[in-house]
Amino acid sequence: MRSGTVLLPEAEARLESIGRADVMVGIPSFNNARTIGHVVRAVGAGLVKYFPGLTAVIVNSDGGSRDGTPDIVQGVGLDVGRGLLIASPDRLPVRLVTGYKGIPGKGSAFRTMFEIAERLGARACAVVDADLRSITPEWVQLLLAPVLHEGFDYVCPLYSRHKYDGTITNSIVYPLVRSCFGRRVRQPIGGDFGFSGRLAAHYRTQDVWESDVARYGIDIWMTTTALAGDFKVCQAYLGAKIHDAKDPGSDLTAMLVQVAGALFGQIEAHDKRCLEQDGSEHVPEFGFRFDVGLEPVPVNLRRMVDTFERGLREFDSIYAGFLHPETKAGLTALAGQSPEEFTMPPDLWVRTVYDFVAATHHRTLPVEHVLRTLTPLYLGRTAAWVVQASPFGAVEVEAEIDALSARFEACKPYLRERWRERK
Amino acid sequence: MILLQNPSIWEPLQRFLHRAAALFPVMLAVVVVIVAGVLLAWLLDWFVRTTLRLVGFDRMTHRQHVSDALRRAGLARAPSALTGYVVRWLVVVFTLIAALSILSAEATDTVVGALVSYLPRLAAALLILVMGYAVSAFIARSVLLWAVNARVRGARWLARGCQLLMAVFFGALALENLGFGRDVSLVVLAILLGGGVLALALAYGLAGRDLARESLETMLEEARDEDRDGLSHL
Repeated sequence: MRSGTVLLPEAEARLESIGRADVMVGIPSFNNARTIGHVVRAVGAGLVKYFPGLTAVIVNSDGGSRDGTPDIVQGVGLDVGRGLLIASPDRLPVRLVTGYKGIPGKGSAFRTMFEIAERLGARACAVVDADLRSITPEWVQLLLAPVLHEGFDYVCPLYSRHKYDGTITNSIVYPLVRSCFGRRVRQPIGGDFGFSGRLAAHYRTQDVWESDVARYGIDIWMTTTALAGDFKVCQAYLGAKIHDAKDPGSDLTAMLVQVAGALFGQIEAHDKRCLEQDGSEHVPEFGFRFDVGLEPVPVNLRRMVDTFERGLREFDSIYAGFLHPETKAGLTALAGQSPEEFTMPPDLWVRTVYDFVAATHHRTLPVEHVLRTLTPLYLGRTAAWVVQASPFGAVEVEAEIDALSARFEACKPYLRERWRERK
Repeated sequence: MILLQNPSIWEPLQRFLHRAAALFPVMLAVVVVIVAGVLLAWLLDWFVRTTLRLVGFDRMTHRQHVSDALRRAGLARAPSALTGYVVRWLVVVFTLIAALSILSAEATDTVVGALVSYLPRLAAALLILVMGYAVSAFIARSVLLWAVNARVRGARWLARGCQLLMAVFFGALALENLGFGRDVSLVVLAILLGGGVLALALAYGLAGRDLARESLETMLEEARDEDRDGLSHL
């Protein structure tokens, strides 16, 4: 076994027999028996249809599923017949199913896939979620072709999503990536990405695998690492993103802590660049945009507003330690509104997020404690968004998110001031 | 006059006045030493605090994460202020010993001897208390954060309860280390832990059956609400 490897012996042995490959598609999984068969079929069909002359490997890195997920990946037949207008293929993609070492989480699964990509010598790679119900073979083309044919290093997804979906992305991640890294990557934590072998090798050598990056933080870390490393980044429109019903065990606070923690950590790691960044640039886009019907998303406004107000009350002394007095006063003034008419001024939200970024930099409290106090405020912002966006169509939604992101850019001096402030 | 002419009254009074006259300069010296010592203590506190602030001690300690550790422990004072505070109270203690030495050299030796032999235990107890304060503050904050985000009712009381329990535990440890109140502290801890839990269980299960039922119903309803909330946050 090689020294410094994170691969399990089963993966090592399989790699020996596979040898080299041109492209690799990775699917991290954990108890995804209901959907992973569909994902593997779509990926297989995409590889055969759009990259027929290339050697392809489908890698499943599983986190110890107890519902037979790896068996489904091994056993599912690939739809490469005439129904998909695919001529008899010369060769079918090879499958490699393995577990992974390290902290249980998506990031650790990715780490394994980065090493496999490097060992295979893959020129282009993609990763897709195992719980997707809307993936089609075209996704594989859209994620891999910009790398193989256009010289890009990183392909971010673009989806049509319900206006209430992706609220962490819309309220925190996209605006911050835009204002701090200067690129308008609309879905920085989309979950489905394409990347070059060169970038996979770069990821693998980073020493971040004991942090939140090993869990939900991997997506934002990959995107911001690509941006900070000046790799060529583009976006590909994939259509609707519909995935399996939410895991009831998934905890909002844990997701928020891991994603925000990873993003704030990246801002800290690249602070000079992030603080000096002014304005933002468009990112090249591939794919053909079309309208899609989206499933309705039920929301519980009363519960969100109640959690917001409860958080303001109970975390008062903690907020006093790092929120700017004006920000805190502004948030406190929001309490008492009726859920159906709940509002939060955009600039107040921008200053709140920047206060959190500065607080994690100053280590006012343990970072995880600071981030855990973000949940109620985020739910307040989400409630305000649900109220505001209820009459909006897709165009108005995008315009409003763009306007919020522009406020993040305009308020950048506030972040600089708070960042450089001495306690 | 009759009193002064009566030797049985006058002689003790004379002896008292002689002793008082002899003791007065000593007492005066004690008062002067204490007043001067306390003034010096406050002056040194101010001097140390100002000097450290001017040389950027707070910034240096911030860079070395000392200030962070203090803040995490819930100690709001700046490191310079904390150092000044320690200097002030050290000077006050030395002043008291010096004042005592004016009254009696033997007593001073005894006190200093006892203090010196007791110092390691005292330092260990202080360390336990400081650690206990930091740990209990950290745990209380962790519990509060978890409980509020999980929408647990009475989150603040839960956090305070945990903090109190930790404080009593570390207090008992410190007392045991000092060698007194050992049994008392253990009994207090046992009463708080065992008695408190039993009392809560009885109060909630018997006297508050309706409250328990309502709380469980509300929790279940909220769980159902959560299931209905179909937001995908990422």
